[in-house]
Amino acid sequence: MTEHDVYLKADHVSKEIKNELILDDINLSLQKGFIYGFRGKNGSGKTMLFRALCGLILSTKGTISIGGITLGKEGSFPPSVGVLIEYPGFLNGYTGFKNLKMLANLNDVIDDNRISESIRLVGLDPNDKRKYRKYSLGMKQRLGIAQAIMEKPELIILDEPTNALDSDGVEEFKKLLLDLKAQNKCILIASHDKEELDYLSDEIFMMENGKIVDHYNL
Amino acid sequence: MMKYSIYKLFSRDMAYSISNGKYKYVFLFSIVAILSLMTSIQLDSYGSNSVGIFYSLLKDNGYIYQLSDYQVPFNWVFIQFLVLFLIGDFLFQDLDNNRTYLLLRCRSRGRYIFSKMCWIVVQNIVLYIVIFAVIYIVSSMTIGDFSVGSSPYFENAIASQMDIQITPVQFIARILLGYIMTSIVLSSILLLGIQFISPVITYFGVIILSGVSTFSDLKWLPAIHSMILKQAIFDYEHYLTLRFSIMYSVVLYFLVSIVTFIVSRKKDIL
Repeated sequence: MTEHDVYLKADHVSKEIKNELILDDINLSLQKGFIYGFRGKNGSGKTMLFRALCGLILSTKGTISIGGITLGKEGSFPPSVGVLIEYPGFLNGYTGFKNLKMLANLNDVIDDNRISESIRLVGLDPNDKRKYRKYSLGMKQRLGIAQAIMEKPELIILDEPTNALDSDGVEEFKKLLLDLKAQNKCILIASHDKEELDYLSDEIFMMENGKIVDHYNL
Repeated sequence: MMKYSIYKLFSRDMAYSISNGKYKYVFLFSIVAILSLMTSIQLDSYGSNSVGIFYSLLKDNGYIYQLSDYQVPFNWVFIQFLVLFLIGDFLFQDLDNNRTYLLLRCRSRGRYIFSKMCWIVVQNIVLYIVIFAVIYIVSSMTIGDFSVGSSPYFENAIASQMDIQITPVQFIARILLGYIMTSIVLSSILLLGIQFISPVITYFGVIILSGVSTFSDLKWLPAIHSMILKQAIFDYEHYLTLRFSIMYSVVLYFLVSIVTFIVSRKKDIL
C-alpha cells in the first residue's frame, strides 16, 4: 500500500479527557474498498475512536487525515462520511421516509428516489405509512443504517450496526456492506460479534484501554 | 451557501421542535387557558376586561421593602419556568440525540449553534404570542368583552398605581416584551450551560437565577426585566426603564451567544 492509496490516516492520535487517556497513540492507514473491523470490550475506546475520526472530538496529540483533509486544520469534519453511532433521534410522529428526508434536506445532495432506495436497501418499505413510534427495535436500527448510507458517503462508520437486528436482518446487512465495499467505500465497523466481524472484515483491529493492541488481516 | 445551510438547520429545528413537543406545548397552553379562566371569573365583578386579566395573571411581586411583604408570584414563576423547561427540553434532546447527525451534514459547529440561537429567539416569540393570544381569547370570552381599552378595573387597580401613565395597549405590549426578552436571555444561558453540565443542573441554575429576582432589586438580573411592577411605570424610584431592559437584554443575549459560539467550536461531542 502506497501513501496514495490511503484514504484515512490516523497518525499517533491520542485523546485525554480529565487526565484520563481515552485514545492512546492510535495509528491507522485505511483504504477505500476495504472493510475494517474494530473489536474490544465496552469502554475499550472504539466509539471514541469513531467520534475522533468523524471530527466530533478533537485529538490531544497526533493528526487525522481523511480524503486529503486534515481534521481540525483544513476542515472540521470528513469530506464525505455516513455514521451510525447510537440511535439517531428520529421523530416518533414521522414516517421513516419523512425522517430521512428531514436529514437529507440539510445538505441537499440526494433526491427522494435515493432516500427510497436507501430504505429499500436496508429491507424496509419507503411507502410504509407507519410512524416511527410503531417501528420495532430492528426496524429502527435498519432506518439508522439507511441514514448512514443514503448520501453515498465515501467513508462509512458503523458502531454496533447489527444490534437488535434479527437473523434475516443480519444477513441482509452483511450483503449490503459487501455491496458497499464493492462500490469502493471505506467502511469501519465495530461489533462484539467475532464471527460477524471476521466474515465481513478485511482487517481486524483489537482495542483495549483506548489502544490498538493487535491487528490482523483476514 | 452558509446562509442557506443555516436556514435549513433553522427550518429543521422549528419543524422538529414543534413535532416533538406538540403535546407539551398543548399542555402549556391548556394550563394558561385554565389560569386565564379562573382569573377572569375572579375579576369579572370588578369591571375588568382582558387587560386586567393580563395584569393580574402575569404581574410579579414588586419591590420588597420588608421581608414580611414577600409573596411568591406563582403565575410569573410558573409560566416563565414552564416555557424555559420546554425550550431547554428541545435544546438538550437535540444536543443529545441529533447533534452528531446534524453536524456531519451541515459540517460546521458554528452553523449548528447559530441555528439554535435563531431558534431560541423565534420560538420564544412564537410561544409568548400564543400564550398572550390564549389569555386574550379565554378572558374576553369569559368576561364577554373583547376590548383592550380602559376599564373600571384598569383605572382603579392598575392606572392608579402607575407613576407614569401609559395606555392599556402599551401596557400589554410592555408585559409581552418583558417576558419575551427575559425568556430569550434565560434560554441562551440554558444553551450555554448544557454545553458543559447536565441539563437538570443547568435548568435549576437558571431557575435560581430567575427566582433571585423575586427578592432582589438588582437591575442586572436577567429575569427582573419581565417584572412589570418593577418597571419605572410602577416604581419611578427604582428607574428600571423599558429602554434599559431592552438594551440590557439584547446585549446580554449577544454576549452569552458569543461565548456559546466560541466554546462550542472547541467542545468535544462525547
